[in-house]
Amino acid sequence: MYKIYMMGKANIFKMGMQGVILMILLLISSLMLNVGLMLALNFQGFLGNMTTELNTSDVFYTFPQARFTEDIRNRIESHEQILSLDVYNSIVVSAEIAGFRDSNATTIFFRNKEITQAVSHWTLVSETIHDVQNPVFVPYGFSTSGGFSLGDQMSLVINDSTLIFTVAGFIEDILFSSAADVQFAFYVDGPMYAELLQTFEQYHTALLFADISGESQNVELFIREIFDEVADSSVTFISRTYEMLVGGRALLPSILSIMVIVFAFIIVVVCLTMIRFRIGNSIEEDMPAMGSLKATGYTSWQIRAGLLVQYLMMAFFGAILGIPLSYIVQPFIRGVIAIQTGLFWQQGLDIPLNLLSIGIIISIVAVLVVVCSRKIKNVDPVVAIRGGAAGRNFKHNYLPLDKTSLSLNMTLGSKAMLQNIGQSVALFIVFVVIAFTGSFFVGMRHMATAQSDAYMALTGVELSDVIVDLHPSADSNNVRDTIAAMDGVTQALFIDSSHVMTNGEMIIAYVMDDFSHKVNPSVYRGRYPIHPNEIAISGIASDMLNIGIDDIWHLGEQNMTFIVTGITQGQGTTGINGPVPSISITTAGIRNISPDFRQMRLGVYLDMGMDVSVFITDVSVIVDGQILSMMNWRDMLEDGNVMITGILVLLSTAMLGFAVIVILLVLYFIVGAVIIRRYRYLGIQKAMGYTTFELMHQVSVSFILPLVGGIISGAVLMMFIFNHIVALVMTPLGVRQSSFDVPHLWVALSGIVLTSISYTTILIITSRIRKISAYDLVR
Amino acid sequence: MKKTILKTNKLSKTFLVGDTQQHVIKNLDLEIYEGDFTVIMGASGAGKSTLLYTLSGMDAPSLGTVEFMGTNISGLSSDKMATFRRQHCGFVFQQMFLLDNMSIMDNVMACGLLVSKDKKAIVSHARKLFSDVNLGEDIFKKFPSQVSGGEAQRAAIVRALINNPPVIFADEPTGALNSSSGSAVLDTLTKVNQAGQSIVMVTHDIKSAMRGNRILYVMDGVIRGTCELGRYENGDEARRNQLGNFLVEMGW
Repeated sequence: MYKIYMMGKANIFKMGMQGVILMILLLISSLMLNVGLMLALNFQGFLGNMTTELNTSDVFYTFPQARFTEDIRNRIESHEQILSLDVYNSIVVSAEIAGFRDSNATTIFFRNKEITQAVSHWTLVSETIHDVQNPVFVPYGFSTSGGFSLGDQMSLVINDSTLIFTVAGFIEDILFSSAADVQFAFYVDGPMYAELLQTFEQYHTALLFADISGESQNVELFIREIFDEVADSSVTFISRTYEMLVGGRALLPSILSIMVIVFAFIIVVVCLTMIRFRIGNSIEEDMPAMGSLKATGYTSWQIRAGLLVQYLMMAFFGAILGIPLSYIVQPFIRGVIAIQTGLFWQQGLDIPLNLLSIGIIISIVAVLVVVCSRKIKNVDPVVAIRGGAAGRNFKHNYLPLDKTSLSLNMTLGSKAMLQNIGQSVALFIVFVVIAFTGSFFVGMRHMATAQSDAYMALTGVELSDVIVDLHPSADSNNVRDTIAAMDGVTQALFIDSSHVMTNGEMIIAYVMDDFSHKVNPSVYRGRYPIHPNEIAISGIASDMLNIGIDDIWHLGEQNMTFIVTGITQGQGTTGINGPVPSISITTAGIRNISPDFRQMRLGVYLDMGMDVSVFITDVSVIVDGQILSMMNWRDMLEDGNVMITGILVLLSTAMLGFAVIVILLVLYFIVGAVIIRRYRYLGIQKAMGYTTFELMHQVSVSFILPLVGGIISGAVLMMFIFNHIVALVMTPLGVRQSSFDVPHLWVALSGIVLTSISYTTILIITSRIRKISAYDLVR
Repeated sequence: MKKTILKTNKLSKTFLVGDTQQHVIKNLDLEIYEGDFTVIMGASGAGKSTLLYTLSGMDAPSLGTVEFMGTNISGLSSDKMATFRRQHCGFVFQQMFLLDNMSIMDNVMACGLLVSKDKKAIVSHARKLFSDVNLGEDIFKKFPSQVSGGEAQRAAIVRALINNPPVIFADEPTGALNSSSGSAVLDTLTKVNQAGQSIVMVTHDIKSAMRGNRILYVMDGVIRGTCELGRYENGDEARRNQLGNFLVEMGW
């Protein structure tokens, strides 16, 4: 055993720089695998622990404080599903935060930090500072994605009044701290809270935190009905369920983990290709040594075990070094997570998971080495000792020089490529994989930046510019017609959501007069309903209930019959495809189920470039008294997406960087190995009169076809299946089909850049040929 | 009066072995003449191979100069030296050093195409040379590992001759061959020399050395003696004795 260990150790030292490169790549793959596994396996647990620690309630709703009487509380508490109800106060305003958001779409829940809550409390995640003017404690996300630090001034514009606060600390809670929700809790001290209450009394809101049994929809419907009874106030009804928030927050980590794990395995595949290549070389180069080992009594298995020990040691050390690094990159991952969740994810040492990462890498390497070293069994000691004549028998003289029309160096390079076809194919595969990955991240970056509309379209929400919620007493059609007739308005459509009961379950219904006017149709199979007896159902509903196009579904208490005409897709938690089954149905259709259905929400589409704020002001004047609230919907969507696109840009840039590093390391490894292997040939050629440049050219040519072919194939393959992969990655978001424009130009440019970097690297590495002397042959 | 093709001036070659300098060639002044079959002999480690490779530009001198047909080649960069070699030198090595991933014909073409782009002319010239060294067409497509040592060495001679170099440098060309293969190779070299080709050959084999018309004996990095044998006709006893006496005199 000791002999085998020593043999493995000697083999590692013999590999020199190539061994270091292989270990670096194994280190990167272990790093990424560990990060990916931590995200995939631990994040949910962390979220669960946080929820328990902060005693987060199942749901919360807003209610006008002035209308929240004892009688209403009793009514709410009497609902059979409500297990407990805790009510606290807040001032809920729309605010523009200087340096954080451009719009006034941010909803701020001002909370009195001196009130101790029994449920859904908060915790500090940073140091605090004292004795500052107007201290405010803000969600942790403001530190990671907002660029705010302790002591910074924060300016808020609320209803044309400017308030200046000083950031005194960062907090986290489950319900109010995600930047993606565009709703934040700001905690201020008692006197400041009282002062704010005086200024914004109309926004004084009761926050109803409840633990419930069963599905939350019925409770929400119940409370909303009570809210509507007393809704004549400036307070907007907001509801949030823990499931919805947690589901939304866990999605990014799961997508992130999938991508990181896939990338880790891509690097593992690259490593395996390199190991396979290296083992092939070792068998060829060390044939006499192997022969003498066999002659002195070593068995084939012992020699193979030497190789196994060599690569297992490298895999072990590479993987084990990657583990601490995966903890070192935690702040980066934490920042990305905090952008979406607002939570401070601190991953402690997880030994079983680390062992799993190491084990996966070591096992894969071990299997490959055992398989690739099988040739050693066939090594005949006598033949091997004589110089390994059996090692390389050329059988076919590719591109004979007296017949080919290519230039001399081109021909010799091509010959080398064809004669080492196994190596060329391996290199081709490596480049296909890397170009594919690189192009995917280029496409993703483009998707997140230049195609934000298309990205938002994936969420399934309708992309109107303004959402107008009508007063229950409003003349809906009249308001719609008035707004539609205003200057700069393209169209005004009723886009309502309602609820339909079927078999005791609640189904969300998205209602429009005519779905053909939607600018973001989310039907990916079939069509939207046209007739009153038709519906389209969400993909999630289709999967859950096993219902497809042309199937019949019974809805409503009267079990009315509907034909399914299409399947819709959308973001899992906030769009049309929630975890709750949803349908799209015409107004005429919903009225067959609920004759009292009223159209209460208008989506207004404006001409390009029109100032939405001015429009909102104009509308409030023109249709005064008939409107409950208005939202700058487009800004709100964009703000929400700024976060996710920021994460995608960050991630894609980092992965592109990794792809380039991997390419450089792979080339250094393979080209370096080829030069060593062809040392003698190159020496002979130098003796014959070949210059260093000519030999560099030859070696480069032998790589150029796998390189260019691999990069083109990888990029083209990615172009064809980019949308499939996006849909696959975003399946947890309810996405079933995506139709992004693949940025051909950018992909082509990245291919050219990748090729140029690779070719330059090859030239730099091959310049080592100048050190090879013809005289070395005979010395 | 013979024309000088190679001339050294105070040529020295020193190797660093560990911390010790080894002076392998010391202040050597030497002239090699056109059309000669010059043989360099000496004991192992005397510096004969080092002298051959320094003369041919394969290795750079530590001091002094080498003039090739009046041109000082000692200061040339390695790439310029390579370009010079392809046009002016042919090499035949003890280990042949044919490229084993190419056919015999490709080995020759890979050398010929370095100097000329005229494939037809090179192929035609190669065929003639193969014929001259008694190698048939059946060998053209074979790989070096598929031919005998003697055939491989004669193919190496064809490769050395393909660009019509003024000088062929041969380093123990029969050292790895059996007797009959060795004789065939020597016959080939003699034949090309008698056709006007200058040859500089290193050997420690008397049978090989007898083919030369001028024998240089190297000892401790200097030319200890020179022996003029005249044109080789056949391996007669007188020639053998003359060479034997010279070598005895040199302390062989």
